[in-house]
Amino acid sequence: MLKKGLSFASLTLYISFIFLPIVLISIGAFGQKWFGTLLPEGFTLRWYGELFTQRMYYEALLRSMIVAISVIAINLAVSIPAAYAIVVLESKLLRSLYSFIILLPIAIPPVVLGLGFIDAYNLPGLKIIGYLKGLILAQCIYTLPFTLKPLIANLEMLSWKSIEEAAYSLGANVLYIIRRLLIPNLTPGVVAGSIMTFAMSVGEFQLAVILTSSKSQTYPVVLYQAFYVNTGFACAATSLLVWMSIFSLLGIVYMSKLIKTAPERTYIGAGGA
Amino acid sequence: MGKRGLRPVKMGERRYLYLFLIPLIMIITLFLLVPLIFVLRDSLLSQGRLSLANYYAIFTKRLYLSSFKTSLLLSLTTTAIGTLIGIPLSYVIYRRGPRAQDLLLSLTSIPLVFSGLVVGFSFIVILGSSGFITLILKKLFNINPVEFSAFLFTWKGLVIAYLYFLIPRMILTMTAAWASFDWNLLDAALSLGASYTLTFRKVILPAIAPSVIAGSSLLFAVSMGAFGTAFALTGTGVNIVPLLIYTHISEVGIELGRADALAILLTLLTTSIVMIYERLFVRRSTRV
Amino acid sequence: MGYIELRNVSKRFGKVVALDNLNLSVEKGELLTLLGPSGCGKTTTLRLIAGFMKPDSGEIYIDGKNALSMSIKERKIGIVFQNYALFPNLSVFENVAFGLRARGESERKIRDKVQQLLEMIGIADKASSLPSELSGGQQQRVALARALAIEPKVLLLDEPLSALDAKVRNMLRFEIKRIQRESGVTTIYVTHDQEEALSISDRVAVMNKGRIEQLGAPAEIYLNPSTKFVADFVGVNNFLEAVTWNGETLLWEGYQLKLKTPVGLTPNSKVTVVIRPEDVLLFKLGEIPEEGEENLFRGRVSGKIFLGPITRVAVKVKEKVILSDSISSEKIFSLAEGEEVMVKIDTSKAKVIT
Repeated sequence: MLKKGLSFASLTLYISFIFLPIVLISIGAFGQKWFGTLLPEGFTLRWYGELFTQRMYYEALLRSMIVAISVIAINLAVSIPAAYAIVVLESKLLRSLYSFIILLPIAIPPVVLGLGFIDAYNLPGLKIIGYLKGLILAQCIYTLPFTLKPLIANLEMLSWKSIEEAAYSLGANVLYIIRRLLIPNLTPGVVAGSIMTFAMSVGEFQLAVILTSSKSQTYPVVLYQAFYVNTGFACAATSLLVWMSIFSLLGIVYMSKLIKTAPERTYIGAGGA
Repeated sequence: MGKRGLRPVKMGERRYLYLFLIPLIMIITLFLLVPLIFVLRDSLLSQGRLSLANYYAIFTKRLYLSSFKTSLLLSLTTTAIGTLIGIPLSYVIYRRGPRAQDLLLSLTSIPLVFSGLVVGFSFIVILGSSGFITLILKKLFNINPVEFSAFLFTWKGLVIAYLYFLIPRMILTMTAAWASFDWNLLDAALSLGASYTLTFRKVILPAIAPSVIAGSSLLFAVSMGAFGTAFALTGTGVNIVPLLIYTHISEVGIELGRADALAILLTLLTTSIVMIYERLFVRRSTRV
Repeated sequence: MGYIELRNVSKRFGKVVALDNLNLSVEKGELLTLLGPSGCGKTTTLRLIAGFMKPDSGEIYIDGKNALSMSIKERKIGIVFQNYALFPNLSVFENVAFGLRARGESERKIRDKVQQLLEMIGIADKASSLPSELSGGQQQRVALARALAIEPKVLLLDEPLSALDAKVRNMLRFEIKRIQRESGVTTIYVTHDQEEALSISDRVAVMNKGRIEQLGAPAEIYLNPSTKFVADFVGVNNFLEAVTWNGETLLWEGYQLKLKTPVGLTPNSKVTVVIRPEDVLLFKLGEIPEEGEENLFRGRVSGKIFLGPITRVAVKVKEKVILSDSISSEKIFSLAEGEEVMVKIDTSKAKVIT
């Protein structure tokens, strides 16, 4: 009995710990005034209104979308052929390359990656540092595991190697296999990887604060400045990121069921930093 | 045997598939390896000449030494607390059965998708001078909110905030360990008359120790490299290595070479610790 | 020349020799089984014939043509995979039709052919289902129909029944045999299950360490194993390690073992006498066998297993255990552990392997 109560209490506490920030920020975003009181007073949509009318914020949001979409596009272009080769070739060397990539975001702290970009590519003619281009390329490295892993899990779940052999033996050519088998069957992995990459890219702050200039700030960078405006506005601005992340997670959990993989295994490598 | 048949073909017949890896290897080379090589090169340059001056400065100047000290202190503390809280929680979650476990693990991933900024700001709202918990404590114990919340902007405050995204990582590592643990062993040991302590020491501990070490290494490496949360909470007010690197980048007039040397040392540390995690956890779980 | 012909085929994976100078000839229309433990090279042989790999050396001919210069498509080989490898996004109908569409057949021909195959395998009513909606046995049938749809020259089956439960497995075994007979397609069947191999095949090739140990009709393999490995692999056997005394007598554990057919060996050479449990006769003490007292040894019962119609008794003679199968009877049931009995080895059924 005591044991049960203890386990229940600790779970409740833990779940509250996880949800408290989300709840407070969501409430705070609609509060007229929040200072010195437990919860905000009054109800207003003013903060959201300001968020979407102030040029600095909506432009930054737009930039973040451009960055995220570019990162997804590049990463998919790079990862689909790579995932295919890793699964079909079954080589030990490639397996270790893969497990290295999975741990990249922790092994190489983003601040180091950002510094490296400045050291290597801060040349006036290149227009990389201080431009979205540089941030996109750096985020491609940072988010690579989140694109690659679902694709590999997807192909492995399909036992792609024997699917492909079956198709070849039945007389199909490469294009036919891609059109009728690869594209339809790999879609869940592509979608899951894209959502994961989106979630990581949109909230990414460390590379953004180092690699952007005042003309290329992405949403997290301007969000940081919003913290000093007022609590209601800061909550509204933060909640946008919170809900984007949570909806992405819902999408990922759903897609991961389709490719029979545990989404948490991928996320363990990043986020929150 | 005809000469025609003598082709030294090894395992993969479709070697051309290695070409499919070119784009991946190219972006890794250009945008990871090349930057890292430049960091290494610049860390070894002082006033345009090859020297170890930057490293020498790091090991002698107080600013750098204390940043490492604070970072290590922060990381060791968060790792210890995160491990101690994470293990029992992971067990409780594991024992809830598969469906509840599925849901709880999805909830557990929430902190992992959040930007560090979100976590940082959340703790201002929770524990800041007019934060939710601060005000509750004020009502209950009549504490001074400003004095109380001052700790939030020191490394101790970072410990609390970091735990938000570290405990879930420990839980995720450990639930995998509980799931792969052969629970029959436990019944077998107890039915053979072994005491609970002996069973724990001889049966459970050896089985889960690798995962505990793996999880703590992960927590430690994440803490060492984390930046966003600390930045949101303290600006550059707490002297930890990632923030110090950032200060060197953003402030003009400070030698970037020092930041490069700091970055190299930080990367060596995080990479080698992540290797422990990889050896003990990833390899096992990716080879089902 | 056989319909499928492998000549001196070798294949290595790194340091591991998967196939070691393999020669194999498969006749048109027959069902030949490659039987052996995992790692014996049977699946490698299959993959080489299919064209998924190339041999390091040697030649492969299919229907008189050099297969090594043909593409996978040109070889026209139907394959049934261990995990079925059905296309998860396509219906049963489209799975079976896949090869025909890929080869650009007319819509009408596709419809007729697929319909005919689905009826043959008895799942015409599931044509629009997805593979995931089928049972394991049904998936297996679809895989078979899909492979047959292209009217292959050769059908390759790689452990096709190993993922199924025993009941479905036994049923499908005969189904496969029937379908193979009806279509007359030359078939190579890979399995590690000796019972499956012996019951389904026209000929069986027992493989070990990349070589064929013995090739022959199932009865021949079963009754006349040519090596200890084959004997061991195709059934429960007693192996008596003995030495020759003279051409007609062996020495086993100090006992004399008289042979019916002499072996032409020099005295004192090591041999293994292989004898099936059903050819070891069991007698209570005092019973005098009608067949005489030759090769009759005294031992103690060390265990017995009831197997339905027969009961297997383990008898310890000196320190060696000999298994003996008898028809289940009151006499056998009454044997107690430790009881002294006599076993008689019927050397006319024994096989001496050098």
